[in-house]
Amino acid sequence: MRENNYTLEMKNIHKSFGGIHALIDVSLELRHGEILGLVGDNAAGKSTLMKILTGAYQANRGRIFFEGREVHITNPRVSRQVGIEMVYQDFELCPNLNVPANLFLGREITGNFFKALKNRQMENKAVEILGRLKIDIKNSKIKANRLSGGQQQALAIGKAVSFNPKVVIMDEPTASLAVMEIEKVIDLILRFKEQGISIILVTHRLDDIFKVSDRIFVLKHGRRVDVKETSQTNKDEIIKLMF
Amino acid sequence: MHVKKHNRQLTLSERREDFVKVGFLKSLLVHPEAGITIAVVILLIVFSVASPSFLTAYNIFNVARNVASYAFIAIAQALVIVGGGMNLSVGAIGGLAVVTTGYFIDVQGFSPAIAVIIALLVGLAAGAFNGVIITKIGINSFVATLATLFVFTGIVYGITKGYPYINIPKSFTIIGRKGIWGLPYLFWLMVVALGFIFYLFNFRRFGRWLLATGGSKEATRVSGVNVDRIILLSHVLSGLFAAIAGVLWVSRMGSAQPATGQDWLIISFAIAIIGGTALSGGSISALGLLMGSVIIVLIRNGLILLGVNIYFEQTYLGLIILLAVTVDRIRAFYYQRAGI
Ligand SMILES: Nc1ncnc2c1ncn2[C@@H]1O[C@H](COP(=O)(O)OP(=O)(O)OP(=O)(O)O)[C@@H](O)[C@H]1O
Ligand SMILES: [Mg+2]
Repeated sequence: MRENNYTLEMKNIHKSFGGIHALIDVSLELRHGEILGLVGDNAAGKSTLMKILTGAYQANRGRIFFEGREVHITNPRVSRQVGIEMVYQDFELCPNLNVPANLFLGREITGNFFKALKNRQMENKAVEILGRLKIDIKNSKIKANRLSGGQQQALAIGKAVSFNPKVVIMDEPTASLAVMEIEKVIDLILRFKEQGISIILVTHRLDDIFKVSDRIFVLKHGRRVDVKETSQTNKDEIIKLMF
Repeated sequence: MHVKKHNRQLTLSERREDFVKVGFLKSLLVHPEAGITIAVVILLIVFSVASPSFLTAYNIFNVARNVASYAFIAIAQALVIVGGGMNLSVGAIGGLAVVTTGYFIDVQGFSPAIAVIIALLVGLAAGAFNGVIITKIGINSFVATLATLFVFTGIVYGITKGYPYINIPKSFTIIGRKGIWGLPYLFWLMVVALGFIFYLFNFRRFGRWLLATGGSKEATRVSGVNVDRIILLSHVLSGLFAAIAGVLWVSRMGSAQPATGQDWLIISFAIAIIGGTALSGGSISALGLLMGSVIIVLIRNGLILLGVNIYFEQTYLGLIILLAVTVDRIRAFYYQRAGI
């Protein structure tokens, strides 16, 4: 029986696209309830590594353990069932659906009567979830393409965290946001940590990483360079590792 | 796909102001069903005034029958457009269902009920064939259904050698020719079908997921939905509705003509687009499909009443599609601006 120190472990992951080796022998450990910052230059392989966790990509080699048990994440459904949620770099909402429909997409509430959708109940729950996360969307019947960038990002985050995930992956959650909205997202991330959710935060904004993370994982040209305790390193050192 | 972003967030009151400024006429553009319903009412009034024979019970019955036939064709098309695809083979599947019905009744001497069931199964199978090619082989729906359009049409002519089946029992034409409460049975069947569409897209997971797929395939996929299965099912349903339209066509005509369905493609697109089924996918409206069918039938009717050269009909329909698509673009533009 292996010791269950980690929520999540990726071991010796390889991934190539045609001739490009995007990931080479990468191992990553995520502790219970920690925020792990994942940094690296453009094309270092950050998104690819995370997409392997969500089942969007399949690794060519390597193994994944969730709470000590090996899991085979063959598609996004499996990943969600395991308890992994991802907030994507580019929001990934359905522009034509309203707020509750987006929030509940893929796990709609249905009734006993022929499994019909319970739209009213989903609307009420959506309002409750938005309120709990202090997400500022007044009219929840509004379609996603009518929301501001910040609101869309908040909704995408709400979608990821409102169904009791164990691990939430955020890929550049603040990339397209104004300063005010970045602060809100940082607040949200810290609140999720309090609830015991383990988080992997991918971002180019080292300020944000140093504000919230427990450890920092550095990826370079598809290889793991180093992992540092945030309290025992500084920006200069991380930047040196990255380039 | 990226969701459109505002540069700046509008406050609610700004939105309302914008809306008032945009005005009544333009808000009609924002709500497709409202605009098209008004257009239908205007057309109805114009025709009633222009032609004394328009509001007769006979003509109303006849118009309602045509509307119903077209609505089934439009539903078959809209079901795949909403998911971001298209079905160029709707008419060919309809033709298959027509000759299947005729063949089993006329040549094989089956009871009409059995022949109808076989025809509907053929429609399901044809739709499934489209769906499998699109999702399993990964050919886009335009190319896939363009190919099967010829495959299915060829089968129709191969079986019939171009001859119609005419030994259809009188009893079989009751559904297509008679009615109740002043309106044809076909019309009431259409009401049921549109009710089904409304229910499907408002109260079923499948409908919600198909809408989502049309909005953003990627977002739907990462939400754990098996997008391929949804698209495949939408093609199966499309095939079924095309086959229903075909069977009803036989019942209306009292014979099974192999040429049935050849003009369905353009009609199905015209109605679906006019009815608010955005070509880019992600929207559908049962009311819009009804109103779209009424408009197309009225315009066809009107052209005959006006005595224009009906041999130009395809040209008119093509122009109507262009007009509808243009209105759709203008609508999208104001929708962006109106901020509601
Ligand atoms: N679907 C794909 N097909 C082909 N190559 C890909 C694919 N996805 C990623 N790659 C390649 O893999 C490498 C790593 O890309 P990845 O998106 O993981 O980088 P990243 O660290 O997330 O970069 P960024 O900071 O710019 O988001 C790049 O060379 C990229 O071109
Ligand atoms: Mg990336």
